Amino acid sequence: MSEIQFEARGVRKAYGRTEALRGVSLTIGAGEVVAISGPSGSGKSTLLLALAGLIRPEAGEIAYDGARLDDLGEAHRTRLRRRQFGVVLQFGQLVPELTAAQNVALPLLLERHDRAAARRLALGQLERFGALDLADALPGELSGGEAQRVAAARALVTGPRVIFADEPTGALDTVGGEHLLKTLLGAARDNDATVVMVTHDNRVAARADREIFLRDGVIA
Amino acid sequence: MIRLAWRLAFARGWARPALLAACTAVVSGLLLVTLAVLRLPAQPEERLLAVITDPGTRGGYAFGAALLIIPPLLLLHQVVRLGTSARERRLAALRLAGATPAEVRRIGAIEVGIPVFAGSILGLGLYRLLRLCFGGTRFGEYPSHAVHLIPTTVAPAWWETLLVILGVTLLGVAVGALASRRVIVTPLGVTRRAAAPAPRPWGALALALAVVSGLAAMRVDGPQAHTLGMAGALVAIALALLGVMALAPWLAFTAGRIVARRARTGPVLLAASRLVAEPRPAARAAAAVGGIGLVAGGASAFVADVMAMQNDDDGYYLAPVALVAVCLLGALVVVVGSLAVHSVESLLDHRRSVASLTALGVPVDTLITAQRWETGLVALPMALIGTLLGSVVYGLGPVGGPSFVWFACTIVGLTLVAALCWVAVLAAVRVVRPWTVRAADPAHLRTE
Ligand SMILES: Nc1ncnc2c1ncn2[C@@H]1O[C@H](COP(=O)(O)OP(=O)(O)OP(=O)(O)O)[C@@H](O)[C@H]1O
Ligand SMILES: [Mg+2]
Repeated sequence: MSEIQFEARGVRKAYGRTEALRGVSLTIGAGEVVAISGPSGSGKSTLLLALAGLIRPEAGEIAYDGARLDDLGEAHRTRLRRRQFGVVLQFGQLVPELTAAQNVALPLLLERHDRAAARRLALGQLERFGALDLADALPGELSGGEAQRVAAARALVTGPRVIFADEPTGALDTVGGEHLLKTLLGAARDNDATVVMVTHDNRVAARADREIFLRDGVIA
Repeated sequence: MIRLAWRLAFARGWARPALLAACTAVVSGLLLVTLAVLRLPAQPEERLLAVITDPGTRGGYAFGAALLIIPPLLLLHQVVRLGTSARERRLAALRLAGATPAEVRRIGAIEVGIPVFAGSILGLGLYRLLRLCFGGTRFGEYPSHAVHLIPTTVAPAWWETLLVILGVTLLGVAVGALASRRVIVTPLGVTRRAAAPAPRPWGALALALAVVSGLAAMRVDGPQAHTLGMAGALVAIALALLGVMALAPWLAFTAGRIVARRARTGPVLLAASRLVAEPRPAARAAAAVGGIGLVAGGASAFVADVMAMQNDDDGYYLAPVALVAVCLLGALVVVVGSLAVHSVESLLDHRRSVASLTALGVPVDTLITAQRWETGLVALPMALIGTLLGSVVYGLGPVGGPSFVWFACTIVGLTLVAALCWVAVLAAVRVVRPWTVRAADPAHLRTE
């Protein structure tokens, strides 16, 4: 087995009274493709967000590359995420005022890349996901599935070491979902990137190296 | 980063940046006028209104000009908050795309800063324009117009101008930061810091302090009596204005609660309960009304004072009153803007519930009536309390006791201010009618 990239121990997270995660421990190796599955409300999204450093667990530890992720400061975590992680969520992730291409280029611009180069890279990623003709559309003009493809292009534009995807194929039909997934996994393999994805779909889960099944906030 | 902020500043059309720029232009223009007046020598070499020429009242005039920046600043605050929910969604999306909290804050500041900076430079032009139209005339030259309000023989120094431009820009950015201080932007959306507690009448404290300093100002004697008295009076006026405006949220909340309990029709209930739930935005929009009322009340007592003296020189005293009246009307126009912007903001924020109301069969006219109530329920009490306060304090202080003339003038003042305030409410609701009709479109039920 490859070296350990993520190590979670006893992770807990509650929203008010709802305990979304009730002590989750797991390890994920570098380059591994992991699917998180389980019934609705079992805490899949919450676990993904905690691993990606987007939410902070109340108890437990999460280590990335051997260093604690959960007690890093907000700005620190954000920069780490921007450089090393790519995130595709269920919805509501594109900046409504920017075009698809600008949205994809955004992480590069925040890293102070040259604008022309950033746009070139962004268009390249959009093309990869078959969304080049959407480059100048605003998110409001995109369908759910199109927005999903743009978000996937953005997640890959920095060449991340880890890709997090929350139901990336949820808004797509079977063929479109298949294509998006193939592209995402292909890009991940090219970069030797780790993939952590949440999915309802057994066929999607089947493409993973390993499946983690959650029930009521614990690994079943 | 600046390019990004630039793009975001204009992404939702020009209305917001243009309004921001207009507000700051007025603010910096007025400050330049104030500075010019303060630069006048004891014996100006030009023909100006008597209150400006007389060094004894000049300070008061400059102070008045500076006070006029309050309504546009309040409007600025409203405009910054305009479309808050869209703005918050954007900031959250930026965070998710990898912008750090500090970067998001910087983008937000630049976004407001660009139009505000442009506005404060435009203020220079506004000052020039005002000087052209209302400038003083050098002795010996033939006056080309009748009203001389702004010195032309002196002007603010270059560094003062620079300071005004930078200061007003910073002020605008600070007001912008203030408007969004209660939200924490996370990559997954915006959470509000603990809900603000129900408003309390703290403004009354400032009003009490105003009375104390006003009384103290009248009691001082000694060689510095005039200067001290003047300073005390100005402090008292500033405190009174602050107090009345600070009372607004409490007043909105209380008025809403009282009316909600007695409401018999749908629109009234809707308006009153919205005030109870969120008294602050409406109060902010109507706060300047209280200040206008206060000044108007003071002015009506002053008129009573002049009429009671019955001397031939009424013109000398009444000219400044006319000037004050014109300024108050100008301020009221800004208030119409504030109230309108507030209505639009509230519509945008409650878009879904507004749309669901129409889907339930509530006609648009009912919604408009509710808007009128919501605005009027805050603005009218503010206007009345302000006017009454101004008239009572001025009437009992410097004039020394109520008289019949004072009583009559106060009644006239109250009626006038209330009527004008109602006109402002009607105008504001009329202005936002297109937005209301659009917000009432049930299509909003499926978006977002
Ligand atoms: N922001 C939130 N506020 C309050 N409760 C939340 C929040 N996010 C999630 N929850 C609750 O936490 C629990 C776990 O939610 P989570 O989104 O992790 O589930 P999930 O497994 O991803 O479900 P789904 O398959 O429907 O996406 C649920 O009961 C949910 O209601
Ligand atoms: Mg989920």
